[in-house]
Amino acid sequence: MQKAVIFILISIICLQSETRADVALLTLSGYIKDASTGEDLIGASVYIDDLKSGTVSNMYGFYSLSLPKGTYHIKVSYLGYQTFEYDVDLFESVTKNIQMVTNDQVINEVNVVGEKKDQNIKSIEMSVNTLQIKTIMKIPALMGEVDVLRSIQMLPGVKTVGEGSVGFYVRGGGVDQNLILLDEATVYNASHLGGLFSVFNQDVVKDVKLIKGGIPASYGGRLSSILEIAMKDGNKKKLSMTGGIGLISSRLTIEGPIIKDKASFIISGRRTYIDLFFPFLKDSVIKKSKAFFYDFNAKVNFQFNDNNRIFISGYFGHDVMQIGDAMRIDYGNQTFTLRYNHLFSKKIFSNLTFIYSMFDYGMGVPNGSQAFDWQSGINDISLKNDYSWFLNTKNTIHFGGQITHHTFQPGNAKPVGNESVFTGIYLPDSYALEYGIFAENEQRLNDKLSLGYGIRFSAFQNLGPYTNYIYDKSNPMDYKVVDSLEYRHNELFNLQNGFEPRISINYQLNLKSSIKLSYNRMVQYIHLTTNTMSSTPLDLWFPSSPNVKPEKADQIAFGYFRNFLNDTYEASIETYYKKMYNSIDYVDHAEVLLNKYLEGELRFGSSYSYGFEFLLKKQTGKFTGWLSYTYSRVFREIPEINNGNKYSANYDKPHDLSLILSYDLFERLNFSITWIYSSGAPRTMPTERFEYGGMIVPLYSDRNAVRLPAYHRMDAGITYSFSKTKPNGQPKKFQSSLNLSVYNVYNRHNAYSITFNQIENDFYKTEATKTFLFKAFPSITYNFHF
Amino acid sequence: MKYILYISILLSISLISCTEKFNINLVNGATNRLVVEGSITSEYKVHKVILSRTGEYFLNQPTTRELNALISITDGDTTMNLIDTANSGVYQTDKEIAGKPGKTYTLNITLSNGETYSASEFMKPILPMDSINYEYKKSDLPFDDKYYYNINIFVQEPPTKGDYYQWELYLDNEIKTDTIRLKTFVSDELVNGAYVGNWTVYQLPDYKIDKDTVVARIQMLSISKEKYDFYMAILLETDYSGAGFSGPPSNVPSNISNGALGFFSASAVCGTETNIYRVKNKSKSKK
Repeated sequence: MQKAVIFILISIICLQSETRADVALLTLSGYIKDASTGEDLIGASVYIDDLKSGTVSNMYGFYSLSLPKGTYHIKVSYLGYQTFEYDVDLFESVTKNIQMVTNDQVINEVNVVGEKKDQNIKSIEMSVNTLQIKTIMKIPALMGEVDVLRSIQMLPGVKTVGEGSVGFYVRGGGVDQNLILLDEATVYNASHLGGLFSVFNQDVVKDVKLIKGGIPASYGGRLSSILEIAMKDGNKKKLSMTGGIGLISSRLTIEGPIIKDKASFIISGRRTYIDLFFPFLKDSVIKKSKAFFYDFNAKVNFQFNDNNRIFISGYFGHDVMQIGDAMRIDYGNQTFTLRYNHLFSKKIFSNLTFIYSMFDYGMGVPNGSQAFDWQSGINDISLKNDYSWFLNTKNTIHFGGQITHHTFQPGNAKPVGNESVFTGIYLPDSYALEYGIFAENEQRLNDKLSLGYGIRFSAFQNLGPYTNYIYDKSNPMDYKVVDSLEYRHNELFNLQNGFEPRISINYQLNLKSSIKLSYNRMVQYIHLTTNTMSSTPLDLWFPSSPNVKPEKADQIAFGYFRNFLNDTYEASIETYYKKMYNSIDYVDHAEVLLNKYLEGELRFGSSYSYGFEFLLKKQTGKFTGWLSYTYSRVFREIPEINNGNKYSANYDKPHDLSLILSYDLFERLNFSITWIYSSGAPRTMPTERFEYGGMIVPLYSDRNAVRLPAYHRMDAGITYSFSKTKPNGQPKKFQSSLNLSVYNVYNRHNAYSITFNQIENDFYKTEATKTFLFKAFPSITYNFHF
Repeated sequence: MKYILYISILLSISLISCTEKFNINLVNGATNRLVVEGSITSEYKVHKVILSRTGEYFLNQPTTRELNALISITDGDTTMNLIDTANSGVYQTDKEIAGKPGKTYTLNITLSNGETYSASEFMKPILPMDSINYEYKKSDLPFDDKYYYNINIFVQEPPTKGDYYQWELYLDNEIKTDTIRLKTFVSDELVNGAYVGNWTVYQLPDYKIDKDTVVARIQMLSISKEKYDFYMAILLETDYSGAGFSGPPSNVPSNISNGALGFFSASAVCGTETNIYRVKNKSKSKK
């Protein structure tokens, strides 16, 4: 608390010293868009060489620069687009909307060498990776399904537990410590088919940004990372369609103007169709089975004038798996976002957002004496208001707040039909309010030194009705409920709060290199029951409560950033240390599903992680790609687990290397190849056996003391684009391409798990069995756009 | 219900995955701990306690039995001594005897080296089953063409919460559920106080009925929560371990004192019989 106050004071002092000459400033502002589609460009750089100063466009493509009267030469650049340069006489405030032309559209005529792509050097951002959907689409994909989260897993500092899951682990944080935002709405479970694919449809994703450290104060609620995914707004110029037919799914997207250049829409759907073949199969149970998922995205936006815009976007997706009459699981996410952008002046950009987000799953047996139906989930209603104040060339201030109402539905299992013998279990819904307010300044002290400093204050309250159980903890392996405390309807209780300071510093050594340092504290009030090897849709979100303290993390990171060969190659080295408090793990054989005493199964302690990350990236030219290498460790220390000794987390895989290469052999033919290597995940393995009840039972000593074999895999893909231009050189309206890819080219049987079993015919004999998910797997996808 | 969940998860993983034998060298913990497997029930019979030791995981032969121990079971009033007549580590009551529901039974062990171990359990009373029946049916799991005799029970579950049950199947007086993986055990969590009718406790593949008439007997036992958790933990660490669903591998609990492994249980028992008449087998495969 005291630290926080000092911090605010320092911030105010810094600000005052900068605001003296503020009087005569004029504003140059506007939106940066793609010339052919009218899409807002996020993070485009606007730079004035003479002042060695500039800004970047925000999430809505808006930029604003406050400058003294004068004539300026402005350069606007964005990856994959031609640099746009113009001169402006600034004797009054000017609104300048900029339309950027992609390199593709001018590929043969203009020499694109010389465009400055040194945002990574100049920005105070560190530990941030952005991926354009174009880049993601070049990566060879499992079953041909281009996947945002599988691409994220190839970035430095990001780990997986196994290829069966799109869950990811950032800098030693758990899978529930990533805030996944789709147009600002939380996506609670971003997986399809139990984790094989993610919910993000390539045709509607515009931009993907992962923040692993130096997290700005505008974000909160998770310890480890923010994954921000922006949906396209829809083509403002003309009606167009994009789609694809793949091995397991097909997609179709329609977008176009409602009012040209003012309002547009996009709708997109995707569905798998393997289940359509089930009725033709021989097995009578499979005939009656189902296995599919679908996604539906929609968005509209209206620009009333330069000062007022609204965006409405939504996502709806669902998975259904049914095995005959034996079992059914279905689950899905829904998000809805309503945003209102308003410019109070050309210097003050505001955004008001209403968010609804939900995840639920159902499970059951449809018929017979064991028929039941089990529903569980979480939903949020949230209101958010953010302001950006482009004060002058040296200071940009962000402030705002958010309030969220959470509803947790831990589980309601009901009997189905007349034959069912079940009476059912109902775990009451619980409610909570989460608040956050923040203020932050990005300040350029001089040509070399930039600072970002801010603070977030977050708070959390449970909301009745609620039953809080009191546990007798005398046996650490088995807490027993001894009493309970009731809270009334709408009663607020258990106020938890935290100050979360965020600091980042960029010292630019020269035009080509900079060093950066950051510190962030994060607080997390809601948690996921991830007691499984990899996350599953059945994991359950639960709130902090009198028995569960919020998780907290402190992270410091240091990085060196350098560009080579005229900014063609970007390189960075980062190192970090992260300490996490109130980390959650589970007592042995914890019962996490349908258990109203779930909190009695939790054990608390601390964890820490440290690591080193290297990234070399080339984003322009015929040959693009990146090489990332991470060395990192993560340990937990929880008194009741592993006899109180520290142990490796399930995702503690020290070495991790990803190589992603893409080469345009000629304009219409692209080759891509990826290679991934990582140390084997740590596992607990038997050290002895005993006999009981006709079974050979394993006995273990230390948790996660043995590693699985190292994981490595190569994927390769080739994309052929059918004729892009007419004989007269004009681009064709209908464009299409065919992609062939092979997952796991050299057919390595990477261990998904090692299990130990008794052999069927020899009671005393045991052996280890390796389970692996994929052999070499070819796929083919046809994509089109017109 | 959770059975169904584990089986489904295992099944869905098995649909997309492959397995192969894997060679691995494991560290030998070499703790040589005592393992106790024993029970007393309300059935009139000889009751047994088996003593053994832990061994290396890939031992591939029987673990060592513990001989020359002194073992007794007491309910506070009566004490029974158990004798290892065959010198095989299997200690038996010296005569047929029945435990009494409502009493707490304590097992005391003194090893030849002087170490002592004990365990005790309350024998929870049980309501008798009304009846059992059977039904001849095809499996409702995919890729399983077999037909089964589903054996169903009819029983009133009492309104008290926290009851746990186990069932055993005998065909012509021969036990068919002699390993934990074949036993059925449940908690009353989802059926508390309900009339449990037509509940399938065993699925018997049709080729196992090899005579025209077979007498099937279902025995129902009351077990403690600890015994249920113990059985569940054994399955989670063995047959269900590939599901990745049970959390990290953990040692199964024990109710024996002094660091020994295993379990001593006390159960009340009831049983009902029915005749199974063979129908013409429809199963295509026996595997």
